[in-house]
Parts: sequence; structure tokens; C-alpha cells
Amino acid sequence: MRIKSAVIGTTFICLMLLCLSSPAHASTFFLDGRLEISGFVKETAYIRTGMSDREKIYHDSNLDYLQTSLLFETLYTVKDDSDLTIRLFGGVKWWWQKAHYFDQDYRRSIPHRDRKDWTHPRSFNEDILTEAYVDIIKGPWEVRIGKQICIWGQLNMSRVADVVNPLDIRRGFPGENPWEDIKQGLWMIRVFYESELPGDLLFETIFNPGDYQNMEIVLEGTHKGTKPYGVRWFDPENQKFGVYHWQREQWTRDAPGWNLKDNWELGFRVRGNTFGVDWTLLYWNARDDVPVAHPDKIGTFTTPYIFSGILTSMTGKWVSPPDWSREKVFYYKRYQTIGGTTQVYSQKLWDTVWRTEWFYEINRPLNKAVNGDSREIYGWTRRNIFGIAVQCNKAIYIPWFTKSFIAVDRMLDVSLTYFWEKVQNHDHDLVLSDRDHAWTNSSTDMLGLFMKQDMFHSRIIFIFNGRYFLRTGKWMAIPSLCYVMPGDHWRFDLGYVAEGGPKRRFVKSSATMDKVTIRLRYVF
Amino acid sequence: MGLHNSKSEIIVVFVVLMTFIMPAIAAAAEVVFPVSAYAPEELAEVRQWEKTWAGKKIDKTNIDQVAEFMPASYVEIYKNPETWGGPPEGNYFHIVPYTQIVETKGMVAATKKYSPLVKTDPEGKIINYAEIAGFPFPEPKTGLEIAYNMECQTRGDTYHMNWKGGVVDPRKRSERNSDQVFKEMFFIHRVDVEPMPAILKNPKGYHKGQFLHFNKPAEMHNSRLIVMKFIDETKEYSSYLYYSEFRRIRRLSQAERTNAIDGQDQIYDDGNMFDGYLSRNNFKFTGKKELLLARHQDVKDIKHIFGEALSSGYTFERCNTYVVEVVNNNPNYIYSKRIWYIDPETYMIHWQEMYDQVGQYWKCFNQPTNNIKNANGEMKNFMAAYIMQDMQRKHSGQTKVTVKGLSYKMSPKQFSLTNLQRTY
Repeated sequence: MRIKSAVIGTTFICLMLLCLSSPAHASTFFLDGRLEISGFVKETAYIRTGMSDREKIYHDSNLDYLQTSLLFETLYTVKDDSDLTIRLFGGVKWWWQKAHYFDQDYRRSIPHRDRKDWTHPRSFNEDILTEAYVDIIKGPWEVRIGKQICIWGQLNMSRVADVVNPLDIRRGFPGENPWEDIKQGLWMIRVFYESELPGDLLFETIFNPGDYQNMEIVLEGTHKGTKPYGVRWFDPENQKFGVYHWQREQWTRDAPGWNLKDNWELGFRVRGNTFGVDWTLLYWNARDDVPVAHPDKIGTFTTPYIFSGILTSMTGKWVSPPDWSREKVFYYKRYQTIGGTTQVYSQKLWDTVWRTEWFYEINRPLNKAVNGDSREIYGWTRRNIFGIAVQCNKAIYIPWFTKSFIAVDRMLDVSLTYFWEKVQNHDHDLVLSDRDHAWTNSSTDMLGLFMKQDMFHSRIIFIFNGRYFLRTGKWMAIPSLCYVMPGDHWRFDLGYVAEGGPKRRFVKSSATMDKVTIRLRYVF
Repeated sequence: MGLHNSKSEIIVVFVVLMTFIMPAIAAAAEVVFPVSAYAPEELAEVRQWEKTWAGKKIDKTNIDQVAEFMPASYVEIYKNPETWGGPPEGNYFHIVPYTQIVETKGMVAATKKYSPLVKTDPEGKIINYAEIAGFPFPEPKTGLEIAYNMECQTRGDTYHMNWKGGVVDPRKRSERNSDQVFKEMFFIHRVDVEPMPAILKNPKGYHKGQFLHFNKPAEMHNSRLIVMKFIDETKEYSSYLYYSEFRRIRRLSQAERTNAIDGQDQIYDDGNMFDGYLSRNNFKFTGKKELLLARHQDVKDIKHIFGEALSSGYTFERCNTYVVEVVNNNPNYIYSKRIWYIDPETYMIHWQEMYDQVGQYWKCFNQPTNNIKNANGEMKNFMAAYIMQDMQRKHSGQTKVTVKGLSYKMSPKQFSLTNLQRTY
């Protein structure tokens, strides 16, 4: 039944898109231009090309991801004149994940409660409503009130100085999905003041009175999620979820939610231009998006799950662990960040644009565990962490090729990024695996390469995104082609994601996650 | 008494003479502007020709008879419509009588006021460039002087327009649409909008600012671009792109100035036919040439069939253009030379031909104009459309312009980074 509805649904969506595309010059403006709509509908499929034998137990097919996504944004201009501008902005998103309808083993691998989150949005405020705010501009002042996504960074995929909104990586990562899909909006007030001071200083203040969203991490058994065989230790056949799901659920439960007393977040940013350099300085004071586990409770919290697994293994039937919803295990601690960005164009340095971003996290909460192994947490502490990314961007003229009928005078856009992070006062027990640190390393660094080449009058666009972590050897390479179909709306993307790296302690690399990505988009 | 009388007579005679002679001397030094593209005897010959041709529809059957007044590459498009995605009967245009264009009162007054004050160095470079307005050389003698006049055509000082068009592949009869809002403001050389001739509060020394807001293509929807040109020609243009998909402001490399724009046949330096620093080019005035220019083009008359490289319905009139050969100082520049055909009444480039690095004929651009009423209630000749043809690749691009505002008060803050990231 579900397979049938998925097939019918996908067909219906494709037909609907075809009907929508018929007016070649469709307008997105209404009410004399006062109302503007934009967004996309897209169908995305990931087909795995490498899958370990252990994982095949949970898959009947290589189709790992088949999702219909929708983003719909509206902007209504209430008033727009030289004295006062008032605009209303709203955005909603929606998704329908269908791959598990075609694959019963895959369906079984996703815990029942996660399956709902995986398949459809679960909450209007948290999942569907991306942004909803009023923007008031009067003279040098601008005030935005409502749910917002704020971008403070300048780099492509990295979030070095981009600290305000928590991420939602359940269905994709930066670079794979747009920011509206990945970032969670927060209800807040942003005030800008455009000064007349030298350097065109722009002052920005953000105040979030009490909205809190934790980072939404991947779901067990799903495409990017923890593999079931790794977390259902005792009886993979009969255990309905693994310890990862057990902990993730608690992690979400323990998130503070709305709280006007303790959840306030405050940030300042100044932007200016001095001697041709664009720069920003920022300060951010907020609860961490990810928690630390309480050392006294994490053990007692995990034990019932272990017993449940043992009993399941002994009886051959699923024995559910006890209800822990009244206990608190994870704590979202407050810390502060200072940071900044610079951006400068240099003709002398081979016509390049240089971008830097840096942060200094003050008293960032971190768990401590035996040899940094997150399974043996015994405490938590605070550390200061410094990170910096330097990016060099250049449009490159390639002899013959740029002038050829392929590139049609379009140069190759290349960005090379180096990122380095250092944890101060490091010791080997700090749990840093989520930050891509190799065991015993207080620092980590990464090289990123981005290339974009428009071809055939921008009908086909080649993009390459690559990352290599120098300390751990972990890497990722994503070449893709985008075909811009005739007309205004249709785009087709075909890509390949390759990942790899040595098998080392705490290095989360996987050579079995390689996949072909296919995406059909209707953009408006 | 007699002596007194003779002295008085001399004074009277002197006063009378001065009263009549001085204005004559002054008139001799007065700047003659506006000027007509034709001297009276030339105009008589044009009128004679118009008796035969004005009102006639020109298509592939009779294009040869007016071919001398068009770039040869364009004639080929009219003669071979099947190669350029045109209908079997071909494309057509109409010929209309020549009508003189008179610049705005501000442009006329500024030209008369400032052109006598222009100071040049031995190479002909204007030394007091930021202090003047209007056309600095109402009677240009060199290519550089014509180029200066072209650059001092401030297109109403400020404007806000919407251009819609398509990137056309005539061989596949396919198009990709673009829809963009474009604003431009001159910080110097202002003739129609106060403050004139320059905005005094200009600490960064901007020559002009441009703001582009993308509606289409869809993946660029709501992306914005600002480009600032400086008075100091040693400074590179300053360009920032707010890329809406990533919600980031990106500073752009100036190597991008010669990069093709989003599948089109033009580069950033081709904006408004030419957008670059004059000092980086050599200009050679090669004479005058009579061409057909669309100087009074009603965009409603332009009829476009999907997938064709050239629309029909243009209205061309004869005009005696200045021909200027432009060679960039950089031997690796994307064009080995440009040929400008400039309207001598407005100094707008109407036709432009470009040659590739090995000297082969490459592109031909046409910029029709029309008289638009500005905010002061005057008529101003302004861009009405923009047509690009890549003759080597047989590729095309066309835009129609809708002017939303001309010569109106625009704030310099339009070109701030803050404005790039505003909610639109």
C-alpha cells in the first residue's frame, strides 16, 4: 500500500511540476509587485554504489534516499518609500521521504519513532516554518522581528563564523542542501544601524529572548545516520533500535525548549571596510547547540538499554528499555564566541580574492572520557577553542579551454580553503571526535577545494566540492553536473559522492557511503 | 569745449562699438551645442534618400539595397534567417526619417559651462575630470575626445530599469530567460539631478555605482550585485555579489570583468556597450560612417519569436556616426579591438563590433534607444533594448528595457553592502 502511494505520489508530483512549467515566462510577482513568491520543488534520489555486507542486512536495494522537498517563500511589501519600508517575509518547507517504502529491510532498520521524523515534518514551528518576520527600515535603522535565519559567514560550506542558527542535518549536509533546509530558524529580534562613521560601519544586534533549538543530528538507520549493525549490539535482528537512538531521543528530550529566563541569546556584529578590506567582528553568547552528557547519569542511562539488549537476545523478542523521559542526562551549557571575517581583493596576488574567518570559543563545554572514547564518559569540562579558515578564490583562464565552444569564455572559478582548529589546554580524554580531531591531537586541519565551470553558455555547470582532513586522512569528493533545461524552471543534477579515509580510532570515515546523486528541480 | 566734445564722442563711439562687438566676440567663443548629426547640405541628401525609403519594410528581399548602412554581419543575419533561428520569411525592420535628438537642458548647460574649462595633459587626458560635467569636447577631434564624451553621457545621472530578455541559442531554437532590475547612479559628471556636477560627500572617490537585482534565472532569484567604479583609474572596480542561495556576500575578483556573464555573449566590460577605464585603452578616430540607428525605438514595436537570434520590428533611421577603434593596452585582453559607432548627438554607442584575440570578427552588439520622459519632465534619449550577436558561435542575447525611473533622486546608500543583504 505504501509502495503504491509512493509511486502514485511521485508520479503526481512530477505531473504537477510539468503542468506548472507550461507558462515559459511565469511571473513570481503579484499584486503589482507587492507580493513575491519563490522556492522550489525537487525530487532527490541517492543510489549507493558501495555498501558493506553488514549493512546489506538492512537493505534490499541500493536506493537509500528518495525525497520530495518543497520550499515556498513569500515576501509582501506593505510600504516602501524613502521614509519607511515595511516588509513581511515567510517561508515554509516540507518533505516526503519515500525510499523505505520500497525496501522493507531499510524500513525495519529505522526506529519506529524516528521513521515519522524521517518521512514527514513533525512540527509546524520546528520543521515546516523556516522563517516568518517583519522587516522595518527607517533611516539608518532596520529592525527584523520574528523567526529568522541569520548568516554571518562568507565561506562556501564551512561555518567558521556562522554561529547563530543551529543546524538540522537529518536529511543532508551543507553543500548538499540549501541553507533553508539545513538551518533552523530562531525567533529573535535583529537591529541594524548603518552609521556615517568612517569605514561605513554597520552595527548589528541580535537578541533571542528564549527560543532554543538543539542541533538535529542524523537519525539511526537512515541514509547518513548511524548504521544499525554498529549500535544494536546484542541482537541486531530483534532489537528495534540501537543505543544511538536511545541516546539521541534523550538528547532531544533534554533540550530546553522555550524559556525566557535561561535561554536568552545575545549577539553583536560590526561590519566595516578599511583600506579596501571588508571585515566583521562578532560576539555571540548562547547555549550550545549540542549537549554534554552528565557523567553521573550517562552510565545509569545506558545500563537499562544494555539489559534490554541482553534480554532481547535471550528471549528472541524485543524487550523495550524502561521509560527515562523523567530523567535528565544531557545538558546544554552556555558559552561565548568571538570571531570575525575579512575579505579582500588583491590584483597583485594574481587577481585573487582572499577570505578569512576565525572564531574563539570561550569556555566551550566538552565531555571527558577515558582516552576520549565517548562510550566511557566520566566528566565534563570547559576549554577555549580557536579556529581559523583562509580561502583563496580565483577565476582562472585556461588556455584554449576557456575560449572553446565548451566553456564559451567562462573562466573556471576555484576556491581553496585551509581550516585549522586548536583546543587549548588539551588532554587526551577530551571527546573531540565530533570535531574531526584525531585521537591525541589538540588540533585539526582541513583543505577544501571548490571548482565551478559553466559550460555551453551555462546550460551545463560542473561543480566539484572536495575536503581532505590532513591529520586524520579522511576525505570527501563530490563532482556534479547541473543541466539547466530550456525554459525558466527545470534543473537536473547528477553527481557522485565519494568518501574515504583510513580506519583509525575515532575517525568517522566511510568508504562504503559512496553514492550517485540524482536531483530534478523545479525552481520558481 | 571742443576737446571735451571730441572726447565724449570717442567714448560714445567706444561704448557703442563695445556694445555691438563684444557679444559678437563672445558668440564666436561660445560652445556650439547641441549639434546635429548632419550639416544642412548633408541633411538635404538624407531627406532625398528618405523619400524613397522612409516607411519601407526591409527584409531579406531588399536588405541589399540598404546594406551599406548596416554592419555586414547584421546584413547576413537578415539574408540567412534559417541559420539564425528566424522564421522562413525572415526578419524585418522599418526605416523612419532621421530626427535630431536634443539633450536635456542640464546636459546642454553643463556642456556649455564646463567644456571651456577642460584641462588636458599632453596626451589628451583630462586633468580636472572630476570637476566637469556635460560633454567635455562638443567638437571632438580625436578618438580619446569622443571616448570622453561617451563616458560623460550619464544617461540621466540616475536611473532604475527592468530588463527582460533571453539568452538565445538560435540553432536549437531555445532560450533561457533573464529578468533583472538595474540601477545606476553617477557620483560625478551630473547634469540632470542635484547635486551637480558632483556629489561632494564621496570619500571613496566613486565615479558611478551600479546595482543589479536578479529575478531570473531562478537559481539566482534575489541575488544582488553592486559594482563601483572609481574616479582614480588606478583603482580596480569594486564588486560584491550577494548570492541568495548561500545568503553570503562575496567580493568578486576583477578578473571577472572579462568573464562571460551567466551564459550570455557579453562580459562585464560590455555593460552599456562599454564599461571600463578609458586610460587602459587606446582610441583611434577613423572617420565618420552613415549607419542605420534605432534612435527612436518603441519597444512595443519589437516582435520576437521564441528562439530567433534577431527580433523584427526595429525602426532604424540614418545617422552619421563617429567611428572609433578601441584597443586595450593589455595584449591578452579578450578582444583585440572594438569598433564603436557613436551617435554624434548623444555620444551613445549604437553599434559595436568586436574582434577576438587573433583578429577575427567575433561579436556585433546593437543598442536601440528611445526618448523617455525623465523626472524633470524632459525627454531623454535612453537605452530601449540591447542585442548581442556572437557571429562565430551563432549565439545571441536580447533584452527589452522598461524604465522605472529616470533622473530621480537616488541615495548613495543604494550601493552599500547593507543594501545588498536587505529583504527584497
